[in-house]
Amino acid sequence: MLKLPEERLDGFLENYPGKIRGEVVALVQKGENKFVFEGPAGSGKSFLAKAFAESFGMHLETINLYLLDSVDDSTQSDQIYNTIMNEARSKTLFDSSSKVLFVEDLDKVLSVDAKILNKLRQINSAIIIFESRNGESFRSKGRSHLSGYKIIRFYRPNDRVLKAFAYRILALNKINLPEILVDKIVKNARGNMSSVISDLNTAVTTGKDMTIVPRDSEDTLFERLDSVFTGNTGGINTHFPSDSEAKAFEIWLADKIPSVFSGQSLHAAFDRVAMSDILLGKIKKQNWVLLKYIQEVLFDGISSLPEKKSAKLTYYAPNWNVYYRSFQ
Amino acid sequence: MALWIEKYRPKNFDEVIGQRESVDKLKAMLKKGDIQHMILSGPPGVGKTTCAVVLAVSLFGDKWTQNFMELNASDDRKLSVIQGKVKEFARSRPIDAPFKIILLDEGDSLTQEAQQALRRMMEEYSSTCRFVFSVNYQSNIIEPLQSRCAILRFQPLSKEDVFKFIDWIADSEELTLDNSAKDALEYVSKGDLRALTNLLQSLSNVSKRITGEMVYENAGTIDKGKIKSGLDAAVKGDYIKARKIFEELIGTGVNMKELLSEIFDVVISDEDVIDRRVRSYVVEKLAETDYRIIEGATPYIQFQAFLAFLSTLKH
Repeated sequence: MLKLPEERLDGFLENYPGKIRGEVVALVQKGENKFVFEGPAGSGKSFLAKAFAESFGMHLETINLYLLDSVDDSTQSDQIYNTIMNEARSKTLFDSSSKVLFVEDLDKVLSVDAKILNKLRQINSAIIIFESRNGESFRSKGRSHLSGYKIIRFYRPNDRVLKAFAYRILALNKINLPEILVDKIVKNARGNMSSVISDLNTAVTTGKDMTIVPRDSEDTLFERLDSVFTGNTGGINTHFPSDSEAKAFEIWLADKIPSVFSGQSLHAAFDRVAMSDILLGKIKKQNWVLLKYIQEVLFDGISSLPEKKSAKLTYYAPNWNVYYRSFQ
Repeated sequence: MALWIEKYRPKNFDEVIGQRESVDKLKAMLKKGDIQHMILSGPPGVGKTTCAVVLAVSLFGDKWTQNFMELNASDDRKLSVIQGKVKEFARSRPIDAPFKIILLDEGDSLTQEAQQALRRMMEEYSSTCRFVFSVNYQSNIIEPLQSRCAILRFQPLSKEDVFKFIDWIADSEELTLDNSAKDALEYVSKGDLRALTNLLQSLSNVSKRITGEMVYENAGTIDKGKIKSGLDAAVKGDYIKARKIFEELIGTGVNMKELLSEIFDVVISDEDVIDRRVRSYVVEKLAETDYRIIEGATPYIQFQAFLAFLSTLKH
């Protein structure tokens, strides 16, 4: 296994050097102690958490909420709250410094009981960071509970940053790899630092002429939207891992369709979104076969419609509140 | 009588059919003794689990069972069960080896929650354990897990490879197969050697001489050609003929769910039958038909409505 760089603040790599790092450090120095680190996998969320714990001389504790034994929702809510609370209060015997809690992840809290977030606000003995990967914090169900939490957005590092990262690892291990292979690894990682590490490891063990197998990336929402609206859906990953992702995509489509289509096509596009919405409702009852229709209808169905406007799309998030409001 | 799938399972990397690329990578890792977490992805029956076991055997020698644990989909996939088993296995030190291997067979059937939890467990136990996932659909694995793993892709086997395998079994079991039988076996098994071996074993009980027709009769697959001709007739406006073809198909014991699923495959893959421009429209209707059947409508009436819709398509 390759040795990895230590988690230090000045080792944190990002597209605009010092931006995210500076923001977090400034907020911590101002006394803020509740954070949400929101961003795609492999963008450096846990690295930064470790790095600043280290530099402030604090102890980092990672809590994975999915590892808690769950019973039912009401006790699960207490369980999550108590676990975080206890970790925040307990001090190690020889160490009186305060703690940084890195909690994986926010989506779990929101799916169990968002009120936990309110209750945790009273804790001041530790810095609490919630990890969030899919932007759930910007949707309706969590928003009102997140006041007082500073939301830090992480972005996928670009290829230049990833390449620097790769060379840093190689230098640390005193290993040379041909640049052409490093470039391939960087390109294949699609903005995920952890993929770079894994592929470098494979390259070092299996030799220079290795073939690289692509991974699936989750952050394809905007790529997907673009592919639908430009009519070029070839080569895009149309698979939804869960019904909630399909639902989110549907809402984004519904939000953006009026700025792309008009007339007959507008009607046809909404017809298709509405159709897949009905099917989605059925998937919840374990009819997974229906998902293939949804993929086909949403992607090829909508992208093949004529009469597209050439308006530039804005990627402001939809108003989730309206979509999730019920009529009762 | 021994199961052929066990009898003909490769015992070392040189016996693995096809998959040169992945096997070479595994061999290199084995040589350096440096194994990463891995995802072995590929269609069923092409050697994923076999390779994982072969890796463990070559790495750990006689004591491989002590350092290797397999959790497969038939085991309880509740998170607490996985957690318990992994914890217990990973806690103790590996015996005469740098680490242990945990194989999560059919890893893509793990729930999202379980995968989120595994992310942490992989980090926690990385000093004593390597996790190997064998999956059919790589995209069902969440990105944080994918990025922590080396990915080895297993290709569907080529026709030559499948033939080589058939010949091997035929030789040692003294079976006679003509070329049509081999073609048929290759077609119905879709490169899945496990399915192929099982089918061949059951056929060998009937006769040592195997023909193409025998294979098709026993395989129980839906005849794609018939579906195509049925759809074609419907699109061309010959409703009665189309209905007759599908009635025959249903008569052979095909259920409506399978039939719709096969039709879906034909619709999205074959542009000769359904024109690209109306494809999504047809899929929408098909989806609605499926939906109505799930809601409790009479399958055959809904299906006929779909056929009738096809005949309204313009050319």
